Amino acid sequence: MSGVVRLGWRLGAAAARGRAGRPLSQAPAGGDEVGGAQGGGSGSGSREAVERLVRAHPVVVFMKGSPAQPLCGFSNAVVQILRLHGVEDYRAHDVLQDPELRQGIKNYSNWPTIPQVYLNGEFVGGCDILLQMHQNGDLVEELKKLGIRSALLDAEKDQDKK
Amino acid sequence: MAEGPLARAIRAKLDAALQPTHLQVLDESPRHGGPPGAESHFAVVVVSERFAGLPPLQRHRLVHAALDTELAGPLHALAIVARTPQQWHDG
Repeated sequence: MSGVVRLGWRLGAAAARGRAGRPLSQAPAGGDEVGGAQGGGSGSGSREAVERLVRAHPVVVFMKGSPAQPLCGFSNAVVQILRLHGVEDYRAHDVLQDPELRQGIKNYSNWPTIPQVYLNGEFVGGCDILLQMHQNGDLVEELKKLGIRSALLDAEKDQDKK
Repeated sequence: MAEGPLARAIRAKLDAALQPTHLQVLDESPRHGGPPGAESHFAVVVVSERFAGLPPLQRHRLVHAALDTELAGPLHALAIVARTPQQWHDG
């Protein structure tokens, strides 16, 4: 039966309805850097260019659209999951704006689809894997390794007080 | 509901590569704006002993490898649930 798959979709939708996380810093949210920021054009999909992008920040996402306006349900799920954990300060790259990057990131990770999530420069997976990590507690742990305290830890504390 | 040609190809490739004890191949294309039978977006639920000891990333890579031709072609998006028979039974 498709119950497990449907659960994933419902959680993605619930994440979208969930409360917004707190920004980690005063930096602008999202950090959407489209192809133009890297000068666009040739080279933006090269291994070196992609390497620079994935290492630029502890949390880097390659997606369709932007965190403010995702253009794909899977990309939206990644944004909403990060938001649930209070992660608003990350690098997001809209592959729809840069076809070379879109192909380059797939070559780099040897992964055929978008979105792609990188933590500390390491490819973690796509939307399904991030959702799994969110459900089983691994995401809280991985964020902790990056020095990021998940907002869900504080949410649990608040609930305990009731 | 009859399976389209791409669904059948996905099923055949996953059967051959992973010998799943349980396999669902779902055409999710209508959820992404496609007409019924568009066969562009799929979800697969794969239960296989081949996944034992592998983290999710490696499990998904096995699925991708089995479907590399399709992913290079008409298969636009693929949602994956990959479990061992034990996990499927317990879950």
